Amino acid sequence: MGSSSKKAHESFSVAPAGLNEAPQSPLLAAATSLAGNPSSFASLEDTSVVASGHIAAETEKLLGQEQGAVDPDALQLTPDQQLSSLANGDLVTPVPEELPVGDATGTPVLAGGADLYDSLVTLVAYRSGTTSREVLYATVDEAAEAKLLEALAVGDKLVPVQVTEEVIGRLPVDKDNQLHEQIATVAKSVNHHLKDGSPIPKHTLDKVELLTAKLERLGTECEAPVDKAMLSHYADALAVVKERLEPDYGTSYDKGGKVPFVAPYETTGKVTVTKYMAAPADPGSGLLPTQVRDATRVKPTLASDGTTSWNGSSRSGAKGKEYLVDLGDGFEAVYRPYGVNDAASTEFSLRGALEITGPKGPGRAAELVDRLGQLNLVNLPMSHAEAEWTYLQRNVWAQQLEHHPSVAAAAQQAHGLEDAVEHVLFAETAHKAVGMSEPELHSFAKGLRLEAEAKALLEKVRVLREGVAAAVGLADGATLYASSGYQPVPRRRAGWWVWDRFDVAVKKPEVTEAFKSRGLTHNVSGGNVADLFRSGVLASTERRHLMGVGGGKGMSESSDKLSGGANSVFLRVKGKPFKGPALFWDKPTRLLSRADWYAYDGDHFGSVNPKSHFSVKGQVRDPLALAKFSSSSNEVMFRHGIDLLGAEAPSLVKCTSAKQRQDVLDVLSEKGVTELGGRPVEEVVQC
Amino acid sequence: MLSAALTIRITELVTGGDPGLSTGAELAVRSASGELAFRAPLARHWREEVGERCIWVRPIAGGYEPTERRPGDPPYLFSLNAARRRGLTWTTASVKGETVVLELAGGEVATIGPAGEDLRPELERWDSFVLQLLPSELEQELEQLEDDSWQGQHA
Repeated sequence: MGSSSKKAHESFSVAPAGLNEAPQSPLLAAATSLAGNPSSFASLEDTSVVASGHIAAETEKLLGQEQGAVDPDALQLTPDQQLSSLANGDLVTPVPEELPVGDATGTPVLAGGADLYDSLVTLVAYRSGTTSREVLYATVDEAAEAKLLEALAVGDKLVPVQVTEEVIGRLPVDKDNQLHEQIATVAKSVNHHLKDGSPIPKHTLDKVELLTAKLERLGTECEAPVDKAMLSHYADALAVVKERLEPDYGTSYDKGGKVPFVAPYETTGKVTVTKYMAAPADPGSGLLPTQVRDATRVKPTLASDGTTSWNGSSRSGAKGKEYLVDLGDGFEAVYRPYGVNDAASTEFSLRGALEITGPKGPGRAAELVDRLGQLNLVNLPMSHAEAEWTYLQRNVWAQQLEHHPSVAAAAQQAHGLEDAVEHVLFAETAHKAVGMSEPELHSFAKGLRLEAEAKALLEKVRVLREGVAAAVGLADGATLYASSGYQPVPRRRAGWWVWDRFDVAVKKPEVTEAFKSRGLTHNVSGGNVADLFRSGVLASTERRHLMGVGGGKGMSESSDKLSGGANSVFLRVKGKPFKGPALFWDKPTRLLSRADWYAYDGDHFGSVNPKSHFSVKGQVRDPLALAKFSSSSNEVMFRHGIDLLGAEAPSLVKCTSAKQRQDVLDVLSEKGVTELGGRPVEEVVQC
Repeated sequence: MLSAALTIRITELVTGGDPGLSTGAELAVRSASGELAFRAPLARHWREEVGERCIWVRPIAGGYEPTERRPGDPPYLFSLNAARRRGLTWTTASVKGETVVLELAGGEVATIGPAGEDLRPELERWDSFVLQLLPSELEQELEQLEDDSWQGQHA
């Protein structure tokens, strides 16, 4: 990125790929031919010869046939210049030169290629003393892990290392006599019966008596001060339990009668353990020096004003292993490989997680993104052509067009294009490979592949656009491109990007009418709803992890699967809520114009077994079908979350009390927010 | 609406009935062809949606050992966003032996029965979390089964 970031703020107008293209291009013919006879070496050679002389003319022709917003400069570009233009300036989400310091949601940038999950790079500038520390976060797609690992010099020999660790533990007397277990059991039982008003059962009363006697006996037997302190701790806790058993005890369960948490009595100590660490790899390999260590996470602090800080070194432990990669010049990458972290035992959202840090101070965002290249990952932000490709794919999914014959045919044609172009390029440049060393050959092949991907993209977009246009009943791709709802660029929402679907934009009045007085709701529990507006987002569990808020640090992926997905937030089709705390959107198209939602008219339990047909049975992505949902347990899932303060703001924030309403209004006032969805906050926030 | 007998049976299963916390319930959901899609122990509350063939339960999920803890901190916690309420919209309901069988509107079959031995430890940890650690006001919120997400502590 380094050099490309200089053009980050320039505005480019680039012609859409291949509008009004009538006849099948030679390139497409090559791809079709290749797809039709993939095992024929002769046909590959023929294809190369046919296509090689036409790429430049074909691409120029495609660009030149665009009507309307054509950049005159773009028309004069050769294919190589066009490729260069894509690399340098035609960026959907340029990397900002400055990041907002302390912004917990971070700044999202869409990356090119398919190496990163959701194409998403999140750049966070933490407050750090008088300056800032910038961190890049991304999740590497599992399919891209192999090439990332090729860049690393991971020592394959394990050497024993003596490590001093602090351990927490209970005293032997406690463990041998199961003191904490027994008192926890009686405390739970007493609370269980106090809550429902039922009498405390005899077996619980008996356990209290036995425990009392045991504590007394141990008090006479144990002499060590630490044992006596432990026994005193449990005796005090037992006294609290016994107080609840007195006939005249009158404090109700919900007014302080609940027996408080009985903490285990634990002490700390230092132990020396032998751990086996990977030995440093051969420094002469030219690869990146890499250490293996227990997994960690950046440990930021979230201030009451919603800003986030990190001192650059504080990290919390996590379950799993990670690679610490020295990128040079004070830059480091931390990567948690899929291959060495089992989903069942590794902490949720950790597998594939990548972070890159650099030296303290602002202005490093572009270099952080650039450093992805050292890891063999695409380090260019998304181009407009890639954006339209993504946009079309998202719309195919959202509008359930994937099985339409014209879309299926387009997808098949597009699939063969990259290989076809690569063969063409190889035929043209194979002579350059003569005499190359093995590393040089690898680099040469990698370069050819990247060039092929870029050159094939414009044609792939054209092909898919034509297929989608036919599927939705339009004359051709140009008509689709010119239609009012077609917006092949994403919109930023809080710390992520969302793609629109062009059908909802057209159907807005129809969808609004179908919902009548109903809308989308979300009930908030567990604390002050004002906290939600402090962060400004209704965020998925996954996004909350990134922001450094919420619990669950340590939860495994397999455990999360039972929840039905931690990368979405759940809304319901329902009428206006009468009680809070709840959020309500009376104009559902405000959210349904996104291309990432899906829904079920009733709770769905198939997520544990995603390979099963059962996992998507009954899934709805049609807003008119959604409007007909009748079950209270219906669910509408939105990826990442919802931006509560911007264009996705709710039309009603229903609070439980005047105080809660005032708390929300105070937070909004602190943030300088006076309107939500174009209406004064006092109108939107109600109780 | 569920029959009185079914209501009593589900309550006995979920709360543990007379034996109290030593027993509990589990939810299993299978496709029409019998393929298991979901299985988890159930928290000790449930409710029926007014005027609808729908009951709300809370499968226990999101349990974890915290990666950072000080002496005396709870050794096991739950993410209440993961342990979210789930709805069972049913078309027919019956009792087979100890188990309540609900044919769901989406074609799946849900069973609520005694928690298997393998699920009991997690149920026990959940009881410890709720009956010892959670403030009573949060416990009440959980029991209302109205939540779509949790904010603040234990989210």
